[in-house]
Amino acid sequence: MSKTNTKKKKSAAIIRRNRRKAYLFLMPNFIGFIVFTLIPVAMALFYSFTNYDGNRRMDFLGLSNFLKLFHDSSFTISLRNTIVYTIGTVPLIILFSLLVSVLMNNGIKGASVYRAIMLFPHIASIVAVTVVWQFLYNAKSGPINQILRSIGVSNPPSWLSDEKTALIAVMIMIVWKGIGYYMIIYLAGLKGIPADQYEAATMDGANTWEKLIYVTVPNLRPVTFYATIMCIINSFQVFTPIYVMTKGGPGRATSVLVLKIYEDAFVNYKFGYASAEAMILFLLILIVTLIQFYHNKKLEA
Amino acid sequence: MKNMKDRNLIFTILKYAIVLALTISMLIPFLWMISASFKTNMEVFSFPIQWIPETFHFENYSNIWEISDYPKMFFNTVKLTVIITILQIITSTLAAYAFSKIVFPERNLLFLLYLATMMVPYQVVMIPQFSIIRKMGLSNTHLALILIQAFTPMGVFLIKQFFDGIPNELIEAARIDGLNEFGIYRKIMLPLSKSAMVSLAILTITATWNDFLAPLIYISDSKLYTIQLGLRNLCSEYTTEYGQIMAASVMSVIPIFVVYCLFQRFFEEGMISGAVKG
Amino acid sequence: MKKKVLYLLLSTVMVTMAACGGSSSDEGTTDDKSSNESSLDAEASNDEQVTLRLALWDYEVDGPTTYDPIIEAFEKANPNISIEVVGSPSADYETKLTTMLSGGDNVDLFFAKSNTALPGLQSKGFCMDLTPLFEQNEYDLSNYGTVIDQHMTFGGDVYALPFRTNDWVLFYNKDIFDAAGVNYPSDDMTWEEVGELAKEITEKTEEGIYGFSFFPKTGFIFPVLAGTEDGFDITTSDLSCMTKALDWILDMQESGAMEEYAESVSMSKDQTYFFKGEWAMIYDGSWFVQNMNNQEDLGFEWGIAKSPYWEGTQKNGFVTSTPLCISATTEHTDEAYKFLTFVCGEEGASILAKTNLVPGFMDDTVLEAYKENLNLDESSIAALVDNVTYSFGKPNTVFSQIISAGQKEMELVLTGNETPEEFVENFEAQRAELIESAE
Repeated sequence: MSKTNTKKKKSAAIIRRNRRKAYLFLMPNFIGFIVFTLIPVAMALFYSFTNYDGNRRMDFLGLSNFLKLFHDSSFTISLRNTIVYTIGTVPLIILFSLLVSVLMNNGIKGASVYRAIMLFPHIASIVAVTVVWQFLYNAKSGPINQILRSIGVSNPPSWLSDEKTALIAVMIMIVWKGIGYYMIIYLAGLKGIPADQYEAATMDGANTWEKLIYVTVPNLRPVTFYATIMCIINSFQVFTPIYVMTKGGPGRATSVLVLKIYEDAFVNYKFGYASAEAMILFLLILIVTLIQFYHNKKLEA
Repeated sequence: MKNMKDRNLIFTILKYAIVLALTISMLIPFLWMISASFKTNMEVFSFPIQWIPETFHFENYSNIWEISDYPKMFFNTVKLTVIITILQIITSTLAAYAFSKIVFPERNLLFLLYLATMMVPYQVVMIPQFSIIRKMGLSNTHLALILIQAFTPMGVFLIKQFFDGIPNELIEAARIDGLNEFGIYRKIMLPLSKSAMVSLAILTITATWNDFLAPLIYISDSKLYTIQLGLRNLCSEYTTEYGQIMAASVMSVIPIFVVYCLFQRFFEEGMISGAVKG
Repeated sequence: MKKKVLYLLLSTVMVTMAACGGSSSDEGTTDDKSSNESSLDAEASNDEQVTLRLALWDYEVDGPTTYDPIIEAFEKANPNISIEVVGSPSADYETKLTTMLSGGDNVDLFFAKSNTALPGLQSKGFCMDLTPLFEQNEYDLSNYGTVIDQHMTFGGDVYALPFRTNDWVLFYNKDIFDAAGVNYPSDDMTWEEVGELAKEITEKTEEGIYGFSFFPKTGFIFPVLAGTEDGFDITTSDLSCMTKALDWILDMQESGAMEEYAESVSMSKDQTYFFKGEWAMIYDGSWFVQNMNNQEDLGFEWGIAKSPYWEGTQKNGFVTSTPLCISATTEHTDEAYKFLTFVCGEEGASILAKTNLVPGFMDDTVLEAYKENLNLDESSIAALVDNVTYSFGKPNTVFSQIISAGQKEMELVLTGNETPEEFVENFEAQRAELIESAE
C-alpha cells in the first residue's frame, strides 16, 4: 500500500463510502440474520457433538451421538416413516398438480374459479385442516367411513387408530393440501412454453395427446424437477399435521423425523442429541439440494 | 373427421369431469367443516350427511367466542402478524437495496451467505435459536416470535430479485440529481416495487398466521397463545363439543381467506417468485 | 412527517437489535442467570414487595375453585408477597413447564403435573433441594404419609411437597345399577370381578350404555397394568405380568362392556360421558369427586368404591400425587418456602379439603373437613380414606420416558395393532434402550 496515486485513493474512498452506506442499509436485517440464523446454524453443528441438556451439562462427545442414533429404534422408525411418507406423497402431488394444471391451461371455462378453489387447502392453516380431517377419518361415525359403508365396504379401515393406515391417512390429507400450490407453479411454467411450438406441432398434425407428450411435458421438465425437489424437502420437514393428528401414534406408527427432533429437544431436553438428529435431516436436505444444484448447472452448461 | 370430433368431445367431457371432481374434492372438507360448525353434537356425525342444517346453531360461534380465550388468542395472532409483516418488509427492502444497488466489496460473499442459509431447515436452527432467545430472557414472550420471524433471508431474496429488475440507469440518474441513497430507496425503489412488497407481505401474513411450530416452542403461558396453538389445544383437551371445535376452525381460517380473496393475484405471484430461486 | 416516522421506526429496530445482540454476547453460554433476573433482585432489595411467579396448569378452569382461595389467604397472611400465576392448558403443561424452567422465565415455584413427572424435573436440576430448609426450620414431614418417601425423595433428599394426593377409585352410577337390579361394586373386588359386573350391567341395560370405562387417555389406563404384581417396579421388574391386565382390557372391549379405546379417543370422549349416564363405572383419581360435585343437575345418584386389585395381589390401589417444588433458580427462596409450606401445609390443606380434593397434608382436622364437604354417603367416604397404595416404582432419570414408551406400546394393544405378548417384548426392548441411553 505504499505506492498510492490519487486515483487509487479516490476509488478507495468511494469503496469506503459505499461500504458504509451498504452496511447502514443492511444492518437491521443483517443483525437479525446473524443472531437468529447464522449463529444458530453454527451452534447446531457444535451442539450435535455434545451432550448438552439445555441446562447445565455440556461435554464434548465426538461422534457418539451420531453412532447412538442408529441404535435408537425410535429414531430409525421415524426416519423410515419420513422416507415412506415422502415416497408416498411426492409423486402423487406432482402427478395430480401436473394433470390439473395442463387441463386448466387447455381452455376451460371458469378456470380462474377452479384455480382459486384449488388453492384453498394450501392457504388454510394446517392445524384447522388437520382438525377437520380428524373428524372425517373417525372410524365409526366419520363421513369417510359412513360413505364407504354405504357403498358396500363392510369393513372400512379404522384410519388413524390402525398402525397400517395411520400414516396413509396423513398422506392422503397432505396430497389433498399440496396439489394447489404445485398447480400454481406448473401454471406459471406452462405460460413460459412458446406458442409457436404448439403451432408447429399442430402443423405436423399432432393431436392434443401428442402435443401434451411431445411439447408440454418436455418443456415442463425443469419445472417438474424443481417442484419435485421442493416437494421432497417439504416432506422431510413434516411436523404439524402429525403432531396435531396422531402425535406419532398409534405407538410409533406415524412418528417422523421432525417430531422426534422436537420431542428430544423440547420434551426430553436432550439438545445435543436432538441436534445430531437435526443434522441428519439437514444432510438429507443437503443431498437433495445438491442434486438440484448440479442438475441446474448441467442445464445451463 | 367425425371420429375426430367425437374424440374431441370425449376429451372435453373428460377434462371437465376431472377438473370438477378435483375442485369439488378440494371444497368438500371445508363445506363439511362449515356445515358442522352450525350443528349440534348429535347432528355433526349423522348420516347421510345433511349439508344444510335444519336449524343453524349460531351459538357454537358465540360460545367459542365468549367462553374460551378465543378473542385474546385472536388478538395475539393479529398483533404478531402485523408487527412481523411490517418489520419483515422494512428490513428486507433495506437489505435488498444494499445487495441490489450498492456496489461494495463483500456484496457477493454476504449474499451467498444469505442464500446458503436459506436451504438450512428451520428444524436445524430451532434448538440453538431457542438457547439464544432464552439467554436474552425472552422465551415465553411475543418478542421472541417477532425476532425470529422478522429477519428471514427469504424476504431479502424476494425483494432483491425484484430490485434487480429495476434499471441501474434510473438510480444513476437520481444520484446525479443529488438524491442520497435513502432518498433513492424511498422515492424511487419503494414506489416502483409495491407489487413485490404486497407479495412479500402476503407470504409473511400467511406464514405467521398459520405458524404452529415456533409458537409451540416459545409460548408457554396460555395468556400469550396464538390461534393455532389454541385450536390444537381445543381439540386435544377432550372437548366433546364437536360443533364448537368446527366453529373455532372456521374462524381461524376466515381472516386468511379474506386476505386471499382480496389479493389473489399477489398470492400467486408471491408463491411463484418464492419458488423460482434456484 | 412520514419520513420521520420511518426513521423513528428504523432506529428503534436497530436499537432493540443492538441491545439484544449485546446481551447475548456478554453472557457466556454456560451462565444460567440472565441479566434481568439480577435487576429483579435489585428491585426486591430496595422494596420489600416480592412477586412470586407460580406455574400451574388449567388455571383458567381450576383457578376460582381450587387455587384462588389458597392464594388469597396466603397473600392476606403475607401482605408483602404477591403471587403471579403463569400456566398453560393441561395437555401442554409438562412440555411448557420444562420450557419455562429452562427458559430463564423466572418461575419461583411450580406444580409438577404428577409425581411421575417429578424425577425428570429433578434430574435436570430444576427443583431446589428442600432438605436444608426443612432442617433449618424444623419442619414436620410426618403429616404427609408415605407419599414423601414414595414420590418426592431422591438420593435421601426431599425435592417437593405434595399439594394433593390422588387415590384411584371406582366411581359408579347408582341409577344404572338400580335399574338393572345389580348390586353396587364393593370395596373389596378384584379386577376380574369388576369385569364380570361390567358385562352383567352392559347386558341388562339398554344399548349405548357401557358397564365400565377408563378416562380414554393412556395415562389413565396404564396404572392398572402396574398393579398386576406386588412390589412392581417399572424400571426393573419383569414386564410379563402386565399381559394379565391387557388381556382383561381386550376382553372388556370385545365383550362390549367397555367402549373400544380407539373410538373413545377419536371422539375425544371424556368424563362427560359418565355425567351423561352412558358409562356405568369409571376408574379415576379422587380429584374426580370435585368434577362430579361441580356438575349441576347431574340427574343421577353416584357412589365410590375402593380401587379393584388383581387376583393374587395385596389389596393395593394406585396413588399419584401433585408435587409443588421451589425452582432451583429462584431469587426469593425464603418467600417461596413460605408459600410452599403454606400451600402444602395445614393452612392450605384445610382450605383445599373444602374443595373435595385430597390434600397432601393430612391430620384429623383436615380429614374431618374433607369428609364434611364431600356430600357423599358413608361407604363412598370410607372408600376414599385409609387406602393402601402402590406406585410405578423407584424413579430414575428416564422414569417418565419409560412410562411414556410403555403407554405408547399399550396404545398399540388397545387399538388392536399388537398382542399383549408383543407388548411385553417391545416394551422390554425400549426400556433397555432407554436405560442404556441414560448411562
